[in-house]
Amino acid sequence: MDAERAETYLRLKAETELRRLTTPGGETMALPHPGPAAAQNWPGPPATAQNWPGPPATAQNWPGPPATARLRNVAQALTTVGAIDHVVADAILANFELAVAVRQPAQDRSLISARPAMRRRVARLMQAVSQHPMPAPDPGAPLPGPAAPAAQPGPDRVIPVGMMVPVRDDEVRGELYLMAFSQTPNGARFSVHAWLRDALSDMPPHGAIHLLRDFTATDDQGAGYALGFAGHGTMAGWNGLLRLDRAPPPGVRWLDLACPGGPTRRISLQAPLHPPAVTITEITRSPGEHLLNATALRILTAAAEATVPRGTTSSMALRQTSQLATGLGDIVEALVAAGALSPLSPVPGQLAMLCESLDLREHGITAPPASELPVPWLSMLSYAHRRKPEIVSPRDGCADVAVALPELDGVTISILGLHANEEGTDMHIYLTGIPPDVNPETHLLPTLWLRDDTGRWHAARGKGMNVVHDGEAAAQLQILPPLTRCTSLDIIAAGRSAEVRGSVPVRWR
Amino acid sequence: MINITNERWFLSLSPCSAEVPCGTGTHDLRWEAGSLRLPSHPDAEAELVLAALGGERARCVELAETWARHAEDLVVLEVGPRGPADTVTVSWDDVPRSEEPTLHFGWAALHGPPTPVAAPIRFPMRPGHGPAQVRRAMQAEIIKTQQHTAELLSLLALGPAFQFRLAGHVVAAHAGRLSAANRPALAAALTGRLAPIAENWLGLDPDQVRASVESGSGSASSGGNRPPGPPWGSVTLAGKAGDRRLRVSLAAGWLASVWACGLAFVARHLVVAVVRPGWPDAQVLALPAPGKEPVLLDVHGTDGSGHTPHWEI
Repeated sequence: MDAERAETYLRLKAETELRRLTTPGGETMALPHPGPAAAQNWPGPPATAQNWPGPPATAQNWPGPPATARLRNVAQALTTVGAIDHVVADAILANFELAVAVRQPAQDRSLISARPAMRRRVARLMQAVSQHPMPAPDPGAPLPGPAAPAAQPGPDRVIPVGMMVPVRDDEVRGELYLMAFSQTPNGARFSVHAWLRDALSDMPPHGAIHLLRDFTATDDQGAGYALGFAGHGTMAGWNGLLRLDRAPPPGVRWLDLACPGGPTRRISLQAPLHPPAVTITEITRSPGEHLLNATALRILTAAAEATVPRGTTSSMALRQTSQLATGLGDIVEALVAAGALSPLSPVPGQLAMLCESLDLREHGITAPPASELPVPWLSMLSYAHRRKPEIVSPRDGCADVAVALPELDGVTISILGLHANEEGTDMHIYLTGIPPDVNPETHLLPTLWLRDDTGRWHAARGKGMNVVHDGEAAAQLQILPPLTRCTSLDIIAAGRSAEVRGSVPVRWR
Repeated sequence: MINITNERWFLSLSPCSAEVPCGTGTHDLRWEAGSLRLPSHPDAEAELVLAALGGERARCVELAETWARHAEDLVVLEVGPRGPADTVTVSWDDVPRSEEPTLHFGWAALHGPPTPVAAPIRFPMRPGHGPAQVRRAMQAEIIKTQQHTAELLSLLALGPAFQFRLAGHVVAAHAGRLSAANRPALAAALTGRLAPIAENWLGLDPDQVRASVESGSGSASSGGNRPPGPPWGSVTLAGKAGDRRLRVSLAAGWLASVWACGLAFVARHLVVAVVRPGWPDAQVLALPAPGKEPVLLDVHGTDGSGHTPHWEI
């Protein structure tokens, strides 16, 4: 890749967009007024990063004239593939917005201070600072306090659990489903999904979080552990991690988990007798191809979501599908200019074909549409074209799918369970090896595809990344189309350097 | 033999002045022969010493310092005008004084939308990782950004004559030391300023103009094994009808000695170099059409509105 060419391309694009805005009869120049809508797409603190896989490609929700969205998409694509430093890209965007602002009519001059790129720069700085050590009085000092359990040496392990435990106190009752146990250098945790109800009204309770904080455990050697819940709750349930205050030593065979107001349950920490079969195939994908594949996944998942008639969700998904496709030609051109994508790559043509199959005409890709599409794309396209969900979703169920995939592009992904409800199917994963200097908002992670036992393909897209710390993160992915009551799954993680395939049994409970 | 000069690029510019609110009144700020002058503050250095000792800082003096600080700031090219028709109007009311905060972010604005009730995962905090450090770093960045924006606005408020002249200073500072750090900004600045000229000159879609910065050796920065060409660069029109594309390669100094002096497009010729700079009379090398040999033109300048020069044969 060529950073100079990438930067030149982005700057030339800014010139083009500024010209469009200043040409009489051109696009409106209005910049967004600050407000709630404008806040929606700014990167927040690290714990709120939303994007999986990497390329947010979000003209959607982006406040301001279309020129800003187009420029931002190109900037984001170039930073995502590593062709240009995000500091440089942010500065170009911020200066573009200032250039637009000083060409505003006098009455709109207050917008000079409302430039989103400027805010984004500051928010990104906040994120960077929180991830990078700053000069400290004693860099060698140990991590302080009781909330800093040192990671115990021991192998990473991922173990399916598949256990439902009742929980209750005077105000709240419910069930906690323990999907899987995982242990990494940063600690140990269970992935969990909880259904909680108010003991009197049977409605989702307010402030039920206390009930999920009081778990304790004892291992087979008599050592005690405190467990705390970390995650989030909605009307449909609570998802997250039940995190042990320290990692069990390697030799521990089981834990006795004491639940608040409920029984004590024994959980085996021994590796399953028949671990899932996993294969790895080396491939070589350019950063640009990887980005475009991830973009295709986002379009396909948005198109799949649009087929589900759920109030405003489907119309929002339709709009998102269209927005994801709009201006892809600019991104392809930028990637080629930056040397991140070969001009001979077949992927732009495939993406053009995908867009046209979905009647998305504004893609702007100049490559001729390909005659053939990858099989997973075709499968999801046929789902989208059916325009009605033909599947029976497992209502309020969990599956103890657990597998640690081999390292891919430096990142290890552990699948830690599935849960399904009327909102769809979600997959819980845990990531390790996220480089310390990456921006989790834009870092391009491997794409995840799933094939069920009927041969239908599904894709995983980001729903929420709980935390990034020391290169580890817990994330929740939405599976689209939602899974049926399948009994096995092939999971394919596709990165730049390899594809990993794992076959796992699925036991719904 | 024709000598092309970018040195003393400003010789083809007339002096200009602007009124600046300073203290309780307004003062003249003058630009002349490449230098900024403060007629109302004959001993600006002494005033700076007084200001350092707690005295009031005159805005004229502040502006002169700001001008010097931004005389190599490539952001000036990104924000400033692309041509005489591209009006950048900033009034003094838009310009916050250095002691005034300019950008009111507020902590709430920096966070995303409210999330569902959540129990944050608590990881151990390293020394130096804490919220106080984050806040301090953000504060510093906000202040830095505010100051930079306020300073740029104050320079733009001086009006178009100063905007063009400041751009000339910036380019002149960089033209002799091209590198990967400044070439992209200069190439974009060149393209952005040539595009409207090409539209006027050839009726060309301005998006179809691509310019590269010629290095000192006569080869364009975009690389490649281009055969040695004329010292001023090259201008090539390719394609037909609506698919015409203009490829231009010029020295970065063109932006200073030609464009900033208002000489870029004279009598339907694209001026590619200045042979003999001067005000109000200069001699330039100009192309009647792409692919044609350049011709020498003697041109005469008059002050247009706001001290922007207008040149004719």
